[in-house]
Amino acid sequence: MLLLFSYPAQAQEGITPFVAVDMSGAFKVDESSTASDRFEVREAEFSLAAPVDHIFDGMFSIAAHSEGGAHLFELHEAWLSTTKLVPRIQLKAGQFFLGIGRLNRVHRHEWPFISAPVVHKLFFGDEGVLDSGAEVSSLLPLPFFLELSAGVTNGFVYGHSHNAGEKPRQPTHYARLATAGAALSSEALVALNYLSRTDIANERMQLFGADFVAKWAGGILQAELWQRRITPPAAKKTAEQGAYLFTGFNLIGAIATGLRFEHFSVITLEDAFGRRVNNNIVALSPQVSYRASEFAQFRSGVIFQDQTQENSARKINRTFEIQLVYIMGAHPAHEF
Amino acid sequence: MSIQKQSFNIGLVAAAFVLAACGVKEAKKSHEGSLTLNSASYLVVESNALESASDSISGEGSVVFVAPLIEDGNNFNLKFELQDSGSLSLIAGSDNKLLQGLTLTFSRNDSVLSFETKVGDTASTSQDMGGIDATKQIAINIDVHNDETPAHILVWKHDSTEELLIDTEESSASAGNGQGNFWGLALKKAKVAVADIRAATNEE
Repeated sequence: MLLLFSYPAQAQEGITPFVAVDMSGAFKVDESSTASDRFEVREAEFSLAAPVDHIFDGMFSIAAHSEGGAHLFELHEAWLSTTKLVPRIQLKAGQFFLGIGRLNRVHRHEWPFISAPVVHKLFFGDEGVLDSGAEVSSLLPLPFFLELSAGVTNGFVYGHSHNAGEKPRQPTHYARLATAGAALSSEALVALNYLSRTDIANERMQLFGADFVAKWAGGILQAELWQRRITPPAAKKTAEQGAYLFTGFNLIGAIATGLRFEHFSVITLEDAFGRRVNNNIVALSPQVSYRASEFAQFRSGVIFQDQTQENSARKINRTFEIQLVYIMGAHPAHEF
Repeated sequence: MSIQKQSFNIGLVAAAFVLAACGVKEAKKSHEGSLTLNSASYLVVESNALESASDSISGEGSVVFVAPLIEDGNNFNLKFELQDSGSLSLIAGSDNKLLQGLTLTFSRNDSVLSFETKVGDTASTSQDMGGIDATKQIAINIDVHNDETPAHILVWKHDSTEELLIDTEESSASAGNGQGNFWGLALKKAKVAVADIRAATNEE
């Protein structure tokens, strides 16, 4: 660990170290909330990014996450990439957040809201899906922006796991097709996504999704829509679908506001009689932010979540959230 | 910001409320052919000598709860009594016949309560649960995080101490994952007074 904090006498030029600290708290507004009623350092990340040589760029980050009250450092991302071997193609290999969707490709401290939407939490975890493998991105030779990305990773685990997992029948593989342009007097990007994996028990998971982001001076509109299909080897196929829509805009000075709407449903849910069960999770989350600079911001908001399931008690969950994020050092350029 | 953009944002918020109103439905109808425990409907899967009342299930047999699980992580609140050499199993993530689930079994031997998990033919090592008097009524909360591999199970005493009794990450006592989205109970010389469910507690 100490080696990470000492540089050789003549440091490699262009190394940009930075530290990002994400502190957050979730507090019950009513008894049905599952909030922890605790404010803590959710994540502390130390990263280095630099050209490795005249061909490759490298990224290394370690992060400490709070788990069971303790903060455990673990490798977050470590990858090598290049755009100089094949024209119009970026190659990346190592451990990284899968290049799929919107939130999964962006570090959590850069999200425009405090916590993961329901659909992201269920399909990608509280932060995102990390794995080791390779990814290829190509800007297609067309008169407009169209980028195709595809990746293959080990797939021994998917999502949060505390062990090494087991070799899957089919590794995790994914693709994303993104286009960008001007919309509503703003710059916008829209993409289609696909991911699949078949685990050792021959259970196949498929994710289909679309993501959209538009930004203009003082505002952002972001949305994702996902459907997950799980095909077990000896049981019925299940399908779940969820989406979120977030809009945020500057109010005055460094103060901004935002609103996220979410919906989630298990499309194929049946009860023990085999009858379809209508079910919905709907949430509305207003928030307010104070952004002193791109290096420090404070955010607070409330989640109003309403969960209904036929013949079950309605669950209304209200949670108050706060977040403080600060960055020290030169953060690499943010994703659009 | 221009009036056009402000109007667009307000329109989005209004659309969000309309969609929220359309998305929420609530139907209240009873399940014919099912029994209830604390207002939760269940079906009897196996009945060797099972007695059902509105406030308890006792004897020997197994039941599956009618309402399916939505979440991958759930918290189960159980209050039960065991006769000597009796047991209560919580089966999480099973099909509607309680197959393909993750079975958590609490067994009594004299005053000692032991715990083991099982998925199919794979069983964990049985471990004694210190701090529990198996001769008295047992009240526990159980988190089953079926979205982790293997499922991560935590068991707390359901009293003012909320003492953590089992953490399968520490004891490697999780046998695997449930494959379905139902849950139920299997009783052997047991009496269950409370069995309800809510979302799993947040670990982070």
